[in-house]
Amino acid sequence: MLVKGGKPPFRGEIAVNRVTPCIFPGKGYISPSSDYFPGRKLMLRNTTTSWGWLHVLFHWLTAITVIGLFILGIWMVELTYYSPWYNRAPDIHKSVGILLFVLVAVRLLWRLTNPVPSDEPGPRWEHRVAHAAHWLIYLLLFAIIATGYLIPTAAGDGISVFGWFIVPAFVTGIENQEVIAGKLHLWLAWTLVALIVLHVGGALKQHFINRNRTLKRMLGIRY
Amino acid sequence: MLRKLSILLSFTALVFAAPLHAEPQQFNIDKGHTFVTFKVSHIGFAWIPGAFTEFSGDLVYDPENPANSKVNFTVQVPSIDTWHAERDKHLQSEDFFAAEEHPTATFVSTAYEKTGEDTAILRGDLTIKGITKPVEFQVKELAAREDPWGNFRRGFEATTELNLADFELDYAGPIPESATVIVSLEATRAK
Repeated sequence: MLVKGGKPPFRGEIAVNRVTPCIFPGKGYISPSSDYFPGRKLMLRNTTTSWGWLHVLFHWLTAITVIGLFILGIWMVELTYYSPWYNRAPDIHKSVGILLFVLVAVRLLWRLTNPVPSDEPGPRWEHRVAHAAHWLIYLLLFAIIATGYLIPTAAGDGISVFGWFIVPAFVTGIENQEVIAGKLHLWLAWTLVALIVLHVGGALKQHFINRNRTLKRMLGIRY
Repeated sequence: MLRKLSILLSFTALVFAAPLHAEPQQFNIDKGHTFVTFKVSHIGFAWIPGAFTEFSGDLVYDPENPANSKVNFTVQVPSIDTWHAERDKHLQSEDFFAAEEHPTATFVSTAYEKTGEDTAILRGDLTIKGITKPVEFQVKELAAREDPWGNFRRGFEATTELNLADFELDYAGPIPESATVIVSLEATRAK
């Protein structure tokens, strides 16, 4: 089924390739320098018609990390005192959370300094809702990370990131800081999950009902 | 001249005033020198010291008849501090103090019994997490005299051992089984 060698593909074979992710340059079935599609290289930067591969990479890395942190967070708070993961799970959660902050910050900078592909065909209200959701997701990510950070640092302890370095406590001593921050952290995380459901639902609707390239663009599929 | 006289008079009044207070005396707790602390074992390894930093209380002391002395104390549970925010958060959760439902812990004395020159037993009802149990504090009367700033001051240390299961605080059990509560208290006599 896969298209290899020097022959141009048949129609059916292109159809297979259409649903094959190609996030990393040169690693996908359709390579960026594919002989079949000259001039359609996967770009680092975004263009007005497609996302660059770095944006796509940032998106999926964020998605995997956020979903992983959410599951880890919900699971770890239920661990009993004598679980082997009682200390380890929160350490991982905090470390990955700090790294997520760096990822989202760099991602946001990249997003703000790149062109943005124009919307695919579809109703205007859908675009408005989608864009609002995107910015709200960015905002929530920062708010969730900030409130998470305020929990273990409330009494002045820094956060050790896998033992590599320590992020010091900048804000301490707010009355009952660790409890208030903990509650906000949880509720904001659930809000984010609700938005992610909306976001995924929207993407699937674009793909299967509106039948446009919205989802494919974010999968790095060029055709 | 008149000023000197008035100082002399007030000084004399102060000296002779003391014996006149033969009835129970109201004391104001000096929050800067009062500490509600505890220590509890970390599953049999080292000690975890902790404190409740917000509290209020009333103290009545009767020097003539110490058995008439009374103390009421209220501790704000969310002010718990064990120098580790994640532990403090856990301690306030349902696993331990359920601080949202039971934000205060109270002590109301029922008896004060001198057992020596400067020792006593303080009995009373302690309520933590909505559970009331009788407890007994071993009290040391540390000092009772004029302080350097013109107040009559008393200093106490009250210690008790609480069975954690009595107050449903035994989440981490079976070890530790108990916690030592140490209240260091200073109070100045109300003028």
